[in-house]
Amino acid sequence: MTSRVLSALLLLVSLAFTGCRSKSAPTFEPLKLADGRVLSAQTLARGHSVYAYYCASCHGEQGDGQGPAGRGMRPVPRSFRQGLFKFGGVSVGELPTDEALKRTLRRGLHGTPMFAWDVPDADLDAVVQYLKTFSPRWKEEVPGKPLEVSADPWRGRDAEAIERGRVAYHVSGAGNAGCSSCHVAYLPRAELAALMKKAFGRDVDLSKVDPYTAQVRESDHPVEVDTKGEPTRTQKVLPPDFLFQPLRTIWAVGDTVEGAPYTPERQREDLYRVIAAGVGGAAMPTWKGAIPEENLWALAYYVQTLVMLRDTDEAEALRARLRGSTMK
Amino acid sequence: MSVDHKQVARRYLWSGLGFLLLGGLLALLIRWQWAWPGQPVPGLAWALPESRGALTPPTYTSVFTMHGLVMIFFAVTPLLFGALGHFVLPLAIGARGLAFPRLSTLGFWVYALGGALVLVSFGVRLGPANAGWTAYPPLSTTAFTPGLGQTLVTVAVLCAGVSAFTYGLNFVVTVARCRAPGMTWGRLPLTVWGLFFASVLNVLFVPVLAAATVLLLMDRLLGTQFFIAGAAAVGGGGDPVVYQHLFWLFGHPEVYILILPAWGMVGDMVSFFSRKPAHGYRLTAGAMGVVSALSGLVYAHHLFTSGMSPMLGRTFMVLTLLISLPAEVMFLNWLMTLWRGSVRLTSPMLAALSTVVVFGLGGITGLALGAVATDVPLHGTLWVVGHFHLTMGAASFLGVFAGLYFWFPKMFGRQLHEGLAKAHVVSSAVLFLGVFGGQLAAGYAGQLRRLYDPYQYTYLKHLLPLNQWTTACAFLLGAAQGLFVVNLVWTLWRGRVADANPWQVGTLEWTCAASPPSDENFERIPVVLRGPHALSQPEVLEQLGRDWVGQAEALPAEAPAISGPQPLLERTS
Repeated sequence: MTSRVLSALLLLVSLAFTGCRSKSAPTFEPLKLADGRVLSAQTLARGHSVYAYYCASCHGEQGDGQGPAGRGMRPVPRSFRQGLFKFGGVSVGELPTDEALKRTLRRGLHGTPMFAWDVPDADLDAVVQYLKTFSPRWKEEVPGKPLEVSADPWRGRDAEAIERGRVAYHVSGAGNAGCSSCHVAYLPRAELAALMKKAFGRDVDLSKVDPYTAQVRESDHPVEVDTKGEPTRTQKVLPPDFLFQPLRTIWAVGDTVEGAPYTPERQREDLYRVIAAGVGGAAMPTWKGAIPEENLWALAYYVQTLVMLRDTDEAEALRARLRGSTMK
Repeated sequence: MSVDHKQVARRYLWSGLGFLLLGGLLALLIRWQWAWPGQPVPGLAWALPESRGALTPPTYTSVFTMHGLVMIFFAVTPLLFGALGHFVLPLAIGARGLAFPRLSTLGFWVYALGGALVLVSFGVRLGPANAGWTAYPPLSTTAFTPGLGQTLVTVAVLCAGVSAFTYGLNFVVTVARCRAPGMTWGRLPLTVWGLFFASVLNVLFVPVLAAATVLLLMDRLLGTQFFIAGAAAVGGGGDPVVYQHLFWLFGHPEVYILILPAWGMVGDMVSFFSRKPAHGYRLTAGAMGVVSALSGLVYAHHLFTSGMSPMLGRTFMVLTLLISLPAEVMFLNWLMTLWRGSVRLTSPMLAALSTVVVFGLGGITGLALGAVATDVPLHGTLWVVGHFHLTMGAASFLGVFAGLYFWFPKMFGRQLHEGLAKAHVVSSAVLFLGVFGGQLAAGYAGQLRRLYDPYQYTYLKHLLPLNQWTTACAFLLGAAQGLFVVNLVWTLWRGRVADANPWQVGTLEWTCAASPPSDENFERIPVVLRGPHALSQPEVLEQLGRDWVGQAEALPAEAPAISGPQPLLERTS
């Protein structure tokens, strides 16, 4: 009998010992969002647990992107305190839609340790809601209007779309995006000059520019934060070279994404999505509304041709040809 | 509360079997996940409502962590030492009990406390531990396993360690000081030798585990930095690899802690059931000693790929491969004992022979991990899992059952059903080979350990059918344990009452004690006259009309070497 009492005592003592410093479950108040929704304390508590499992080691317990596993990662794990997301499904700078956040969680981001997490549906929703506790923006602003994917106007006319996309990519103004001013150009100098002459009606002097080297740009995403989680040093980003760098939200055709085969149509749609929305916190702006809708789609078609070439000998040959091209 | 060693043994037996069941069920969950990744497990929806019974990655990590941990610290070790060791050791050396009876009771309650913490951990927020059974930092630090479960389980392991240390110490002192008159070191049954050496290892190396565990707990609870990555670089503090050194300095001898008692039993049983004296008794006992001596010196082969110096790697490789030599000596001695023996395939004998087979295969597959060049590609694959499950899982398990089937009549006074027992042993052994052979094959094909869904990787997709077959074997293996459960329940309820010496062997527990033995074990302390394997000697046959003679039984022409009380019970069956 004494042994039983003794063992019960030991159990209690050890429980007290283990409980004394271990983090107990935080208590949550219901959170009222600016869009009128109220997140229940139960959802937030569940979300906290899911976050602790899947996210905290990289994104940090405070949501500042400074988790122990995230140190030294490039790109840096997202800080949720700014309410700024790269792939939010809305115009750059606006709060993302729940749908876009879930999409990122479900699909992961290429070339980063953000994997496609097998989070159960109930947990998925809880953790997405929990992310909203990190930034005060959610209490002040409503999420942006989701940028819908419009109907593809070029369906069945691929060659035409690619041709239009090439112009929209390399030429600035007059409904074109001029992507090559940040990303690199994919036409030899002579062709580039001819394309510009055709678009502007005059000769453009390309002799003093280097259209084949991407320039590093500032991003708004912090590499370091202070003790309060405010950014002290931001990251620099390089716009991707489509021939050689994997895009974060674009997979190779034939992969399985979210359980379904990744078709060229899906790939194009995802390209459209990034081009239309832009990339939050990076220099890539929102193009939807800035250029005609058919040019957005045409760009998706054109960039897709480059993405398909990625890491092939052909891509290497193309780059050599571009570098070697002169004005002749 | 009784402090009788037989009572303590029974407590360990029931709790050990309970944890064996828990660990086995967890193993089946892992196998389910590898055969049908992410699919709901039938009947598990009540435990995992969010995923409707499917294992999520964190649940899966918890499941394999807890499986390993429960099996090693709460099932196999307590069954081998706690149940069989506690029961047999004093009886086999002719002692009235253990040297420190209260300590053994205390050890059990500390173990029970650890077990309770393990069970409690399943119910806490964020679930039980999920840093792997080795609890490597930084995975086991609060940054990566923030839940209370990891802390509780770490305390539980510490409890299991304390309990292991207490019975280790108890056994060493008991063997050294409490032997019956005439029970010289050279007359100890091999089982006692195995338990003795393993207990020495317990005393030497369990404190290392305790140290690592306490430091880890301090990192988790008090903010120290013994094992925090990078802490050494920024002024003082530690390194996660330090933990690996400490852990494996315990962890590798633990392999031998788990197998030495089984080896001892195999040595005895091969002799008993071949009706021949154990061939090379001294060499076998000596080989066990050499293995024990080397066991701590080979630990760093677990760290070949952890960033250890390649020069150290070479040293540890040689030592690791060297340890197979004494093991060879034992194997050859067992074979020589069997050779031209009058072999009786009883259930304990079948279990002992199965132990030899699975441990042999486990040992051979281990050579590939002891050599640096082959360890580098195989490390971290299922090959390692298959290898150590053959040695520590299958061999220890079969060793436990060899012992249990052998001593059950003595423990409970009833005889298990031989047919059911044989069916259980043979089916288990065959299915063990199916399961762990499948793992070896998958590992050789490159499947990494611990992957939640291996088929995410194109190069592993074709292993799905193999894993499904392995899983089928695992489920059959689980089902085969039903044979034992039925046998146990039926026997305890209305089994045949056992003779005092149903196996007709000469060791003290069978010849000098009743079944089950009285509180005092022996009415009079026996005086030992000979070794444990006096079988099939012509003069014994001639004088007694049977092929065995008790260790404490005087032949008519033989005067007891030491004057004193005569052996109590001389049964001919």
